[in-house]
Amino acid sequence: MFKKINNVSTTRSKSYALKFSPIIIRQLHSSILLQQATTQKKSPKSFDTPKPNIKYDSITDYQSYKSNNIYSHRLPESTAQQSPPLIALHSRLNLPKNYSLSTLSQALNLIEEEEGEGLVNNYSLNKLGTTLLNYFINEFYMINYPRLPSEIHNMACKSLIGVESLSSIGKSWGIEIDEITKLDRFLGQENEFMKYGRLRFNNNKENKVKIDGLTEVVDSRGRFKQEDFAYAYAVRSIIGGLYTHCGEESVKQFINDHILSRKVKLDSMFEFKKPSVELINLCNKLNFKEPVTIKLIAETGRLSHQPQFLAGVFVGNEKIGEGIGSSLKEAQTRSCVNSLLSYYLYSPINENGDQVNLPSDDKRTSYKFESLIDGGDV
Amino acid sequence: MVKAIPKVSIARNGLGSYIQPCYKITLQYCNWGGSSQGLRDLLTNGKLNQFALNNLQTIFEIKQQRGHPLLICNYNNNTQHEVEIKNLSDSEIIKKLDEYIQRSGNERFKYNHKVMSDNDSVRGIWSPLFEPKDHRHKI
Repeated sequence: MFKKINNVSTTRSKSYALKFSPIIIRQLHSSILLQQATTQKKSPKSFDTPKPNIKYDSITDYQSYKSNNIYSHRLPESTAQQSPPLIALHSRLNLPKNYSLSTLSQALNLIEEEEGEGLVNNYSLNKLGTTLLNYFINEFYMINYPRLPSEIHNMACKSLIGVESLSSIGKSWGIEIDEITKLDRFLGQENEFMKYGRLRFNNNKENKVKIDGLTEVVDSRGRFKQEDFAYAYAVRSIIGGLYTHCGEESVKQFINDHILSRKVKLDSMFEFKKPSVELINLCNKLNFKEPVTIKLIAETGRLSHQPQFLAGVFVGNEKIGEGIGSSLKEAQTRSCVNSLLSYYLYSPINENGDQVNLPSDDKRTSYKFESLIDGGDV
Repeated sequence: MVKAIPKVSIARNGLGSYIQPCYKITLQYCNWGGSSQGLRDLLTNGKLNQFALNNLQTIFEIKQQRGHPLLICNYNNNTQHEVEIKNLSDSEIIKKLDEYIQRSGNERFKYNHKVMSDNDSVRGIWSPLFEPKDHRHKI
């Protein structure tokens, strides 16, 4: 009946792979490479990454990688320095001086090499940034909240580094989208360097009719626009670029400052179907010998229109948690939820009462696991 | 067993890092009108260059259009503030710039509330159970 239409996001990520089509070759380093590039057959339909027969000097020598890349070129630093948005973004993010402006410009470029001017796009920086973000955010939650169930853990990471969060970070950094068409740029006599500091992606605005009240969404649930993905790509790429210029320490600091400083309400992420059953299962798993009992600790105004009950969950003589509700049932449920939350949201401290060290904190000394080992999910 | 409810993290600008909300200011002047004299002075005597060098995080855009001069300030919460600067001298315009570059872009409002916070109250919500048993209202 209906043809299933592929997500634009997936097709775009496919088309990110290098295609062979007429290309502008600049910064050529050796003529042998040119021959190899031109003798390849043109196959515009295949999305596979081509494997040019290039020999690297050594796998660990990154400089030799750079010189082999003949399909595209990087923006010269002198050009990037003339772009006001780039300089402003650099100083707004308080980036270190050795973070070059041309890398920053590359991080904002999503257009494929053969479609645009042949400038490198942020595909590789984005990959690098994604990996770094995943590592540091996962590490933070693994160590600081060791008892989080895996679903909540994933959701907590997503709330920090998901597309929604990253795109709002990108917008708050004051990155503008390059929406000006070539004709307008010519007529408005805009400085040609301005666009290198804007977010550039293929939004195909020129071929589309804009209707008020209608927005184009990209993902299947209809939450994100194409620009949201572009912003997320840019933010990840800027983080990846920071790693290439300044190393791991400054990336960690940057992620701490800009992303981990955001507030995540972990306690409002839990959804328990049957809190009392889950609590009993948990206590069984923890091998508590005495049974779980819920007792009424205090009450007020039972006959009034606004009664309050305080229920507590006890294992033997030990109180695990308590909850207040306006009916007995509500107080019971709340006390169960509170005691479950107090188990799951446990955050360890070390002997001195400070926050626990992360494995990435100090590389010189071998990492010693200080926190309590968790019992796993219920 | 446990299901996760999707939430988005809340931005706390100033905690960890501070991003200045005003990212772009457009200075609009008229080449002919007398009300733009102050802005034209500012553009020619180099004071604006000095100001822009001190505020590298903001882009300054200069636009020529007839009519009274304007400052158009763009903030990262998708708002624009238009400031009329007709008949102001160059030093007064610098003061205006200094004022608007520090704003958050939100509308100004009278702050009547005792506490405004993303966090829950440390003491918790008051409950009648906090009252000692003897003092409670009996029915």
